[in-house]
Amino acid sequence: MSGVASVVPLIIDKIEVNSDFHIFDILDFDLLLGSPFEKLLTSQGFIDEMLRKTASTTSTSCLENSMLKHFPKPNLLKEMVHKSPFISFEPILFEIARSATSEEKDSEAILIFCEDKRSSPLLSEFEPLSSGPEKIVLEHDRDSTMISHDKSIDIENPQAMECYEAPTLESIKGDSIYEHGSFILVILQKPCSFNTSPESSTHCAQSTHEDYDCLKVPSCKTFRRLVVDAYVYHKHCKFCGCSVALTLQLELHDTSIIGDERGIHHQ
Amino acid sequence: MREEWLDGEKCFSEAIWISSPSMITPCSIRRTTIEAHINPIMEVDILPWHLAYTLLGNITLRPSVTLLKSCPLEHILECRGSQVLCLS
Repeated sequence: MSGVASVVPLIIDKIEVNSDFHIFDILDFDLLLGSPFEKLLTSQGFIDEMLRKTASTTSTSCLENSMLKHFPKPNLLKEMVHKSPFISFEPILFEIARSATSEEKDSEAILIFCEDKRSSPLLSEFEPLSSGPEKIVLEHDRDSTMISHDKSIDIENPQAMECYEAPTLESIKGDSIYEHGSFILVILQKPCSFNTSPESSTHCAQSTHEDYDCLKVPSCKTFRRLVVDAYVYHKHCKFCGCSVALTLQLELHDTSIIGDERGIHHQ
Repeated sequence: MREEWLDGEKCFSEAIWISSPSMITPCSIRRTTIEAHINPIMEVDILPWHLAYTLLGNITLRPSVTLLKSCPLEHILECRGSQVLCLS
């Protein structure tokens, strides 16, 4: 007795499947596909192959996205540096930017590196890092030397003395960029002037850093201006204190003399 | 309405076709296009004998004890290659 035709090739909608057909002497229909379509396709392995293709496509897209995430854009790093300047891992970003500039010598990468350098010195000034590269501070300060140079400040502030180092090849490469930075500095001098007090200048520096974040604020220059203001204010206080002391001494001396004279007169 | 397997019998009722109409789609067997009724409720693939003979030729059929019971006439069709049993 025989009744089942095994592995009959059947093409449905351009999909070829093999199925086992039960042979009956029936005239109601030509062909009845009663088995679940999934089973029909699974018998051929079509669904498995299709699922594999879908999975591979999905995994490939995920891998591509993950690879993109592993290589963050320089602009993102730049934004991180400017928006959250007080972060300890910032030297690492500078190292990455440094390697990118040294290897690829890309002008855009150099621009990013120099822009990051502008924002780094303020951080290194406030939070000296144990493992942080000192070159960052020095290179950044190199940029600030172009703004102002006051020998008295160098004597008073040893940290400011480090700023005046001989420019290296890296700084020479970025001359055009520094010129662009000086242009930004001119704009930033407006909100923060030398006539303001240290407290106001501090507030001004912070607000300037926040407001002009998109303009790549050279915070080192602002900090230098702050140092200058503090120095002037300190000198002013010293001078005022001395003058007041002299005034008091003179006044006391005058009163004593007058008292002595009055005593003499009374006597 | 649902069909049930009873000792190798497949109850095939017209009500099944009415309650769950089949989807008709063209298909081809060995370059011959035929009209296929897709009805997953049946759980088996059925090919009429005359089409099997025409399309597949003289092929070897695997033995099976499956019976097809047609309702409401309750004709039981034995799944065979050369014999058709009609039991009333």
